[in-house]
Amino acid sequence: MLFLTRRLLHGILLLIGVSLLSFLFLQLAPGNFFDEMRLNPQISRDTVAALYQQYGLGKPLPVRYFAWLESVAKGDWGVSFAYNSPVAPLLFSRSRNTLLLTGLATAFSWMIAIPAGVLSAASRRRHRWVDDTGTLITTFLLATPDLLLALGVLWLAIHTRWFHAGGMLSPESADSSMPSRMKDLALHLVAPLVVLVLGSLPVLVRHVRAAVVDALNSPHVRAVEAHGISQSRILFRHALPTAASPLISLFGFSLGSLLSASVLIEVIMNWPGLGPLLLEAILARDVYVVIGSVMLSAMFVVCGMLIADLLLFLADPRIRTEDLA
Amino acid sequence: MNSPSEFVLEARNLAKTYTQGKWWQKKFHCHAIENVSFALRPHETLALVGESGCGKTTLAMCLVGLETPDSGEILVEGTSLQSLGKSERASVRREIQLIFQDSAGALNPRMSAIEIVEEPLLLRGQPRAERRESAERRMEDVGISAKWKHRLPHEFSGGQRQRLAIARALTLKPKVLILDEVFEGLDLSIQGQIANLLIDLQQAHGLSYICISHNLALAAQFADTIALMDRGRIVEKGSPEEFQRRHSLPSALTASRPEAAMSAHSGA
Repeated sequence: MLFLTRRLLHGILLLIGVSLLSFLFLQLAPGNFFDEMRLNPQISRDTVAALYQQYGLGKPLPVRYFAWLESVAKGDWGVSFAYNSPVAPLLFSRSRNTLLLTGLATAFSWMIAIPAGVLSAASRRRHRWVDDTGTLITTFLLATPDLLLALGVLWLAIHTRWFHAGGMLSPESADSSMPSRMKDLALHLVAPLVVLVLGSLPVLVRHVRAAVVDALNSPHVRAVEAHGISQSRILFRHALPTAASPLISLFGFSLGSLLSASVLIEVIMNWPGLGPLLLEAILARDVYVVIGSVMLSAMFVVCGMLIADLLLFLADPRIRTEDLA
Repeated sequence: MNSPSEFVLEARNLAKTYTQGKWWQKKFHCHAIENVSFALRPHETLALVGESGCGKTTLAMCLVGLETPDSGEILVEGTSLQSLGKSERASVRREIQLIFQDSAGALNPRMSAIEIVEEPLLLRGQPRAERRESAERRMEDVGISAKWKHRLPHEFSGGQRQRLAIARALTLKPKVLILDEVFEGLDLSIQGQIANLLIDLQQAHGLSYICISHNLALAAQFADTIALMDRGRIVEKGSPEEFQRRHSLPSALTASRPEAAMSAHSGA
């Protein structure tokens, strides 16, 4: 438990650090939300100045930071200038959409990457062509920019009409039954999901392959091979548990980037997630929305790392014995 | 021609070449071993000596089946491995077990001592209780108490890990143990303990050893026959005494052979 408690404390410190740095950097950035208002002749200078004071932007940084902490404690996470509402409900409804997309994409990517990487690694000696074909496909996907993949999938959607080319729900589905709404959602999910999976797959397959090849070449696996143990037992009992440690850490990063992995794709595919909201907030200098998004992403990174640590703790007996010592 | 049963292990004209370079690159051929022949009698210890990169470990890998020789023949008790089918070959190969230099790396860090030692017994399809019992006996044989059976490899010292590796190799009751630099990285007193253990085990189980080392002095202490390897070939072969004469090894070397130490110890 000492190991996990230590990691939890690190996580809390990291979140405090991220919030402080976010405040500092946004303070250093030139301009603010009300600068554009000043250019509008229909809004008087007094109104702009009053709004500036109302949202507390004239106060010193530490005062604003503690006011924001108080707001976080209340569950508001500050106020959005653009929406004139608390940030938390805005972020949470958008995050739900993002998590639906990235959660499915991460699950599919790993479900494909693990067997593909293991197959590639295990066949590298006896069935070289399988490994070479896998390497060729992953190289091709790695070399293709996400933007191009997205445009290709959109082109396919428009020309075949097999699935929808953008958005999350069709306007007409609002009044329809639950199964047909689910079907509509699924058809909208296909395009961003395919792009996200194809974008992350080559990296994951290569990592899985490299980890399994390293494990298969490790001295203890060679030693049991020399004793005459069967290839399948070597792979499943010796090589895969050895390869698991680096992959668990990578899986933690995958979980950590759930909120930030799809920003570009959400904007291109018009998916109402956190990505478009964050982009709008940055362009409009809606600082508390930006800080809220950054904090939410950081919390996911911390949780992803904690889950990875917990899985490592369960998977590797050496960590458990060190912890007990 | 020797009768088939005279040698427990025989290598005839073994050769292994590694080729590097992709199809678009100029090929680089490395002749790791060339035309290597030797024969090992029961209870005999053959030391393969040579500097790093001379092909000793490649030869060991070929003998245990981790590498396939390009040409030549390996005979186990007179039976040529090439004449056997895949499963028969695997079964005959179990008579030859390899112990690696790096004991810390050669044991699965996620498995307990007892799981490591019993692992090869899975090949025999024994029930778990029998495997455990047999593995515990092997641990006791090499001087590791069975009460430490649930410890992980990193909880043992270097010498103890080497003993565990020896116990694992012994579980299949092999006839030949290949010791690949097993004394490397151990301090002198532990080296002596491991050497004594190996001599005891040789007497108790009738084992033959191939002891791979780059240290001629150490090999001279341990072996009945020394084969000197250079650039993939065996260039010189003889008894430790002959090597002592030819290479002016200190005479104390042969006097301090573990057998001598053992007999002096038992006589004291």
